[in-house]
Amino acid sequence: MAAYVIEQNEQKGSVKLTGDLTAILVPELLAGLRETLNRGARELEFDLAGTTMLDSSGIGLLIATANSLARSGGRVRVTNVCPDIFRLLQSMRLTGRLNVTQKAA
Amino acid sequence: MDSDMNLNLDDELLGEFINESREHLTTIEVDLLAIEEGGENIDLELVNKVFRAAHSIKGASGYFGLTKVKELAHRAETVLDMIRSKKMAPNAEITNLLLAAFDRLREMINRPAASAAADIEELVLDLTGLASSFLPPEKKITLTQTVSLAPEGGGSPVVLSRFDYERSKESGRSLYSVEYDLVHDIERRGVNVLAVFHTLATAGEIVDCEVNFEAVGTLDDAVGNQLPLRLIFATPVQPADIGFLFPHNRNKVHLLLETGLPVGGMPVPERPVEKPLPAAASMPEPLVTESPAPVSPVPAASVPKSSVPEATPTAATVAAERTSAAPAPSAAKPATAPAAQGSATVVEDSIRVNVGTLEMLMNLAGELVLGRNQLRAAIAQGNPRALKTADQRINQITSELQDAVMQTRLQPIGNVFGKFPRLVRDLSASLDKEIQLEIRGRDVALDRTLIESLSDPLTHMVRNSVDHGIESPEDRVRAGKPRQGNIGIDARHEAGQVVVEIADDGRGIDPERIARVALDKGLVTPEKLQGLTAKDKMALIFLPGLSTNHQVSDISGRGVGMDVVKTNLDRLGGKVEIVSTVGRGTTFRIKLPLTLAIIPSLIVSLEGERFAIPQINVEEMRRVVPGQARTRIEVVGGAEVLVLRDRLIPLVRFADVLGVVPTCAAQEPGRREIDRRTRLADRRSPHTQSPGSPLERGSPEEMEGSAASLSATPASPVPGSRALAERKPGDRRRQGGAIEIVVVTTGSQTYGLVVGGFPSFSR
Repeated sequence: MAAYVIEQNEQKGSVKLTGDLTAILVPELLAGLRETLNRGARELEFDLAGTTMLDSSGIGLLIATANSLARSGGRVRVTNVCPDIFRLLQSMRLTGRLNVTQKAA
Repeated sequence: MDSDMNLNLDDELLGEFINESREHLTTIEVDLLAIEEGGENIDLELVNKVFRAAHSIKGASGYFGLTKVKELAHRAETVLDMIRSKKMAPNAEITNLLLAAFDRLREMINRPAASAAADIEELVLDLTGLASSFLPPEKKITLTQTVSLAPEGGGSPVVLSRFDYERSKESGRSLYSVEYDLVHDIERRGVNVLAVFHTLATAGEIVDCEVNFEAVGTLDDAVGNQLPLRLIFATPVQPADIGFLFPHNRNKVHLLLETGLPVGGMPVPERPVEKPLPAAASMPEPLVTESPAPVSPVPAASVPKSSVPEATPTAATVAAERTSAAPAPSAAKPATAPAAQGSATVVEDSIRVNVGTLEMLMNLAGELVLGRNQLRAAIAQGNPRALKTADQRINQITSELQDAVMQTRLQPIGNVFGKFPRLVRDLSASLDKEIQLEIRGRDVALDRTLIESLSDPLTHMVRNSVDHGIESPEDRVRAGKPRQGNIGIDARHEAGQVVVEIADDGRGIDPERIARVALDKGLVTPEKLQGLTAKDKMALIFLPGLSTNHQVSDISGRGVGMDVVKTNLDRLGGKVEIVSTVGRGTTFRIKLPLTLAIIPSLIVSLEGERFAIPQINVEEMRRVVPGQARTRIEVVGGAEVLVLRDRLIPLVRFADVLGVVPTCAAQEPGRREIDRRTRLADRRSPHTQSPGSPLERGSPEEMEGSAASLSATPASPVPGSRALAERKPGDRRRQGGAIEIVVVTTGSQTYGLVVGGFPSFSR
């Protein structure tokens, strides 16, 4: 069961995911993210420590968030990514744009 | 990407990038030298490691807008790729160039803000020229040119580096353009995107991938509706079978075909490539629109890099030609300058800590909290038994915690040794010497503060060994030695210390010569010289002023002398010894404490204040009882000296050094008076609170990390000090009147510090 917790401290927000970032979670998470951005977040960190599966919708959501934040000069970070997802994002040349960092070994 | 947009020096990510890059760069030097040693027998794993390092730096620097870092890393990567694919056999010239490139990368990464102004043109040209010279003539242009490829059956053309294109073609791989939408064409067909990319990575190489970010939109749009991208995919799978890899999207996959003409050049500043490549203007001029103008005035700037030599040069011939070329590329020279630059110490502000150690720290922190709770409960209950248990527990945890924290500070000494292979290689090349360097004990761990401070003294000693120690090959042969000299660097643990030895089999140090030089320079008197052993004479090399008398060369006659080496090591609490045999070689042996964070000390208390004397400086402790004072303490030239075996050691009163007037307890309780007693007999007279034995062992708690605890005044015993509390009156009488002396050595001075006893020893 996928779930998320969004925390916001002024301009900084963090999204902690439990479970996979897939089409099932995206609509619900999208609403939460919009609200966070409306409250003034300019930097969002997606913590994928508990995520082993990412589908096209999930990737789309990360890119859309990065695009939205880029408008206000902000940025997105994707942290604690498992090796499989990291390789996927690397193949797609997205690690730079999304500021992806791998989970520590 | 906007080159400045992402360059914010406070950026945490940039910090991470810098740290990671530095880590990559620390090992590269050693790896490159190992690759060079391997020659034709290429260690693929090692080359891959260096290649990956260059690749990582290239990838991340591009994102941060460090375009010059990216460019240089890319050129180095190309050369490494050619070594990896065995198109190029590594030799000294190639290694020099790569080392120089990585040196420059290190400089730029250490100062990212200034990297845009860094001069990399020459290196870029040399690297490109090198890669080019090892390519078959018709392929030289591929490094600087891009090629336009058209998808079979129509579609927008793809621009790719010609080198990548040729590489794929040579390995029998076809290039495909795949344009699809990850949402519509993958996800909605029930296919897992992770599995798709995994399959592609297994079946070939994703040469490039362009995601259409605009089409994805923002959070205000309907997210998850589309994710279009274009992949450039290289695979040995033939067009007829490519459908197997893209079962649902065969129609989106197109074979890429060359349109015929190169479309342009990569931004490389123009300069004629070195001589082996004769000029030929048959190929089109690469585009240089964004590149800076060449630094040096080059009249033949129009000579294209795509020149075609008559024959493909081999590794050996190219190396020879490059060396003999009149205006040799700077980086192809033995790179002493880059080595020096490379050694410019950048103090690391972060270290890597073993995960196991971190776990241990976490556990101990948890244990400590439990101990504290236990202590608080015991105090609240007033339960002495529980209090004792809590005390023991906290004591144990604290000790373990201290050990664990110390572990985090320990780093392998190999971090310092890493630069020596190159240093020795470059220096021996410039001095025309043949030297084999052997390093042992890279894993020996040492406090990071020590490691940072050890770098310069060790470098100086290694330079000295190369310059003054090892003879020229001809001299060695004449002396009946092998042409190749040996320098061994060895680190090991020994008796709670770290011992580092730098040994050479060179000409050795003649103690008589050192003594003569010292005498000529007026650093020692002839009388003093007479009493010196050979070892003492050798130690004169550490006298300030003597080092300048060595034959000055551009390698070790400048910079710090051996006196400074010794001073630096003294400061670190280390000692250095020399063992040398004329004609056979010299060994410098350095002994260092494991850490500077905890300094085992002798605690001395005087007039209610406690002082710590580092244990490393304490030679021994002597108690001179009244009966022995006459024979043990003498007055020589008006100064008191301690007769210690066959030595006379000057005595210094601790109270005098500190400028305090010693007091003692007066008859009336609680009052102190100036200690006017001058005779040993006074000391023996019964006194209510006469000074107790100055040599008191501290409580177990005090003993932690200290050699012993000396108390010169008993007036304020440390609470809980069992030794003081349990002292028997008889002990005091037995010890009363003794003079307590700590024999202390600092630098070349040894003296007796009188910490307890009478203000005067007059008898």
